[in-house]
Amino acid sequence: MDFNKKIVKIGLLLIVISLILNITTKMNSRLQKIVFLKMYVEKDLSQIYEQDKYKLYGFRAKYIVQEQNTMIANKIKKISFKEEPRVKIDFRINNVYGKKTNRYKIKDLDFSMDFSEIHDDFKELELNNMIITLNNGEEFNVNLGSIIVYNDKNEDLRQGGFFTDYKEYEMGVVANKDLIVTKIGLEKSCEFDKSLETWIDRNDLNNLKIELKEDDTFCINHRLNFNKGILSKYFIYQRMLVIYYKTKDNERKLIRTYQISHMPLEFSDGDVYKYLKLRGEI
Amino acid sequence: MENQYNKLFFGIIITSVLINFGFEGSILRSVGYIIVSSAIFNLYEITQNECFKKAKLISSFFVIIHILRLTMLTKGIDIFKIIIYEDITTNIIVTLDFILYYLVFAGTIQIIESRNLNSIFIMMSKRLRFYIVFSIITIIIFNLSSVFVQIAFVLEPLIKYFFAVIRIFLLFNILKLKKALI
Repeated sequence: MDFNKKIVKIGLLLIVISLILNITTKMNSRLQKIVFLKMYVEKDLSQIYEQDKYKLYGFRAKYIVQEQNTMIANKIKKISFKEEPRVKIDFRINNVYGKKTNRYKIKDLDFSMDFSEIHDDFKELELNNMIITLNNGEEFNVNLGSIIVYNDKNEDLRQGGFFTDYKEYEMGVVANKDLIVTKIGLEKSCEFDKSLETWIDRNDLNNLKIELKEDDTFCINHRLNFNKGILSKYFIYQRMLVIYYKTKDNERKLIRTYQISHMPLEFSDGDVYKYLKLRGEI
Repeated sequence: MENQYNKLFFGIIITSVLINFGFEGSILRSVGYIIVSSAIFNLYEITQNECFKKAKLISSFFVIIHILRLTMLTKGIDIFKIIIYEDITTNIIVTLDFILYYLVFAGTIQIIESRNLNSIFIMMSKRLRFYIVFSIITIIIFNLSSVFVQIAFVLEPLIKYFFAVIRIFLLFNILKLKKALI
């Protein structure tokens, strides 16, 4: 009987020590603010339907909050962009599909942008800083990464068929008039482009010479590999693949064809913790 | 006296049916702990054992905190998230729960010892030792699961499984103790 008592006493001591360790780590990993995942998104305004002119749907930002902060996050009242305040934004916070890990909550912020006020003024617009206004009037600035919107009406090429086995993607492109494709690539480079591989029949894409007549088709393949580092794992990536071509009159032009996208869906406690640590938020 | 052990048995079952801390879980827990603590109060009156005296204190603490929480939940306030630092509420409750049933177990074994039932006494004190060691290891793993976040996905299901095994082991042994005392 006395032996059992001794075990209980030693055990309780160990429990208290582990509890102190538990509390200190939880205090360390406490997240005080809302952290948005970085995003690099490109969209083309000219490719949308006629009835919703100048309105772009389907933007999704993801943010990480701790359980205690969800009340604050639900009270977001208004969103605007620092670079272009005239862009109107409708947003919705997706609570149902937000992922929850043991310690943190990941929520989706879906928004659409209305460019009707400024559609004539720009060919290309880059937005970086989001200003979030809460219900109580508090304002804070979030560096989202970059959202680029093009307003470029070029219809020399159109999208064709599409095939995927969820690792590799194959996209068809159809010519609307006679032209020569010279290069395929991305317009601007960003730090996560290393994860993207693009090829046509495994050839080099910089010095191409594909001659196309009207209604001729060719295929572009690409593959994404975003799981190498944690910073690049939790990253929203939607980029337009650009085709550079020459027309009959030897005029050099470019067209943005289709979007390559990556959206992080799986979140685990350890990875989110490491991510926040690397970002320097906790 | 058998009656009290029956009460204890069903009380423990009711408190452990729902693992989550929602509203329904809170009702069941309040009811379960009232049954458990009434059994312990009666056992103390019958036996005047020191262990049951300490167990009385812990069980009445559980009853008070769960009823308080239930009344506050109807107003939409969760006291587990206000009074105690939210993240460690579960850890503290699990530890207190272990101490409560350890005291009940140990008290009963002392009664068996006083009745000179030697073979059963040796067997049950070995089982008590197993209960103590297993519970303490599980609680320590549970506390450390948030320290070693990288292996949390292995530890979390393991902890749930361990707690379930401990509960079933405890219930099984309460029936054994009841039979020994008849």
